[in-house]
Amino acid sequence: MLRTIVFRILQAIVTLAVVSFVVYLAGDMTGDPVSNYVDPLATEDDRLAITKELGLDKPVLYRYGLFLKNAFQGNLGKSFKTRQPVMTLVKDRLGNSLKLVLVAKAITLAVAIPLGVYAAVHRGTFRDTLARGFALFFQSAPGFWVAIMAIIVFAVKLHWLPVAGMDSWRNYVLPACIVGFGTSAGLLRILRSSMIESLQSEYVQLARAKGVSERRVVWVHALRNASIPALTFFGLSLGVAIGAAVTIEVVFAWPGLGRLIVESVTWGDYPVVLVGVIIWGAIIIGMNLIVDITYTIVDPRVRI
Amino acid sequence: MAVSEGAIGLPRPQASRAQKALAFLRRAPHLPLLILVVYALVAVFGPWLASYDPTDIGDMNRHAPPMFVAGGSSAHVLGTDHLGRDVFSRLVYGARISLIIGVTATTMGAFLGTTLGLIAGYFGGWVGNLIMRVVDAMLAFPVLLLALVLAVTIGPSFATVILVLGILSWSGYARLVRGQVLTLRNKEFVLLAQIAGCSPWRIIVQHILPNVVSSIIVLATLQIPGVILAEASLSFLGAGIPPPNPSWGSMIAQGRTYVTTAWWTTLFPGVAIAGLVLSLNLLGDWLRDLWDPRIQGAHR
Repeated sequence: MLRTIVFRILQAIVTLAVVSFVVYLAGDMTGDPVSNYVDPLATEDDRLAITKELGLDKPVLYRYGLFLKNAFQGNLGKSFKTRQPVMTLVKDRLGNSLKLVLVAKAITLAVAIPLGVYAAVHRGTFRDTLARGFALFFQSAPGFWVAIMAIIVFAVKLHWLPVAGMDSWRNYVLPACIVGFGTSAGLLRILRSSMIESLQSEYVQLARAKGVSERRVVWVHALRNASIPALTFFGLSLGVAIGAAVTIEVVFAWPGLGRLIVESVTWGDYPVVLVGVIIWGAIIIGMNLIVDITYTIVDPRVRI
Repeated sequence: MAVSEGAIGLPRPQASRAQKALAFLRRAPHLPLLILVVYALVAVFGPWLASYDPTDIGDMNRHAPPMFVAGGSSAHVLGTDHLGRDVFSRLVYGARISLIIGVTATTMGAFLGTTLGLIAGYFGGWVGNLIMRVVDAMLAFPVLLLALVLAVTIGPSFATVILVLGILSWSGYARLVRGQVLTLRNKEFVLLAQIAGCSPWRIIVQHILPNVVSSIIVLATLQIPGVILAEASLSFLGAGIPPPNPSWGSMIAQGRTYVTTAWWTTLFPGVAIAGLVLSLNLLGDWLRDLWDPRIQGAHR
């Protein structure tokens, strides 16, 4: 088992290295960052000085190695645009994004579990279709569009909720619900099918025969076993929520990492993009690793 | 291929193939299928349906409301946008963009992923391991962020979007196909083919591939809506189809600024995307339940 766990950790590190290199290379090919930050009337000497200051006069592999070396020493480089350390720019933004994604994932659970169980209990009926249709609609409609429409209805017309920012809990309602609803369809589907399976199993029939109330049979006996595959899926679906949150952050002017990355991409501010994307990658890969290792410990049949 | 079939001499029920297809479609969910047919027809016959050129600013009749709203006229059924372009015509041409990108990028991803999955599954070894490591890396990643970075790097264009979304969507197929090849590789018909002296490529293409095609089709059907949404998101963020082309995502981005006064420029493109993606999702779910319940959802 230890061998499996060590192998998984090594694999995660290699994965992260591959991702960081791809993003670094992509960034290196992005036009000419120097032109974005120099006065158009600058002399050739000025441009060379800036190029040197940004460290762009060295070959790409050398710079990637240097980036890794500095990163391990806690120095993530400086923004081309603001000349601030990337660390300071990214730190608060990451926290804000994580808050949004975590609240959204909580909403996903709060929506998908009851609806999934409900759909399984009433499978094949109109209520099943309705429960699945709700989740499928939010998966199908583009989140940024739902966000704009929700702002118009709940913020502009009804004045119930704020338009943008993150000053109070009221700011969380719309963005977190939209991300949470949007990523609930997959979880709902898996929970529904595993619930249908466990509702037909022998231990559920035994519980019924013993005279256990139907509510207890469904919510305790059946759900406990059905939730294992659902929870694995939930752990692995973090990346989907992070992706979904990017456009939502843009629409709600949420001061998160996703929006920072989008803005930095358009600015050609590559050090910020690089660190931002790698941080998201590290979080997702780390999360997958935790799910994998938990699985190895809980279920010894899973071996590589 | 035809020779070997004739040699075996099995009676093939060819006459009923069309009937079979018809019976198959009859069991499909009707509404999503109907909606998809409408979208496809709109995309194909766009120039005949649209009364205006999608980039034509006309007489600069800005933000004319839709005909069913007070002040609207039948000249612009769904109103005009901030430059006076006809919203309905832009929607019609946008259907082409969405469908072409959805289908071509998915085909590209499916082709790449299937090829690599067949290699990884049949030959294994360090090449197979390498392929699967890259698959793990791809599956672990927020695809939209990577697509955004790559699209901006290459420079936003129609081809860029197809290329980026195609390259980023192959991993699911590779994993699926490899898993199935691993079990098929030791089946008797493959061993017999090996004994008969078939080359590895002949075995892969003629004996193994036909057995995984249905799973690939299911996964592709589930991936197309994801790709269409990704294109819309990229265009919304300004890294997709460059203006003045009528991509639904960029229509929403442009309409957003004026949404409190001219809501129709934002509402209708979103409805168009939601309708298309919802129908594709419903059809994909149905295919999955029918053919291959083990496939887990599309990875976005």
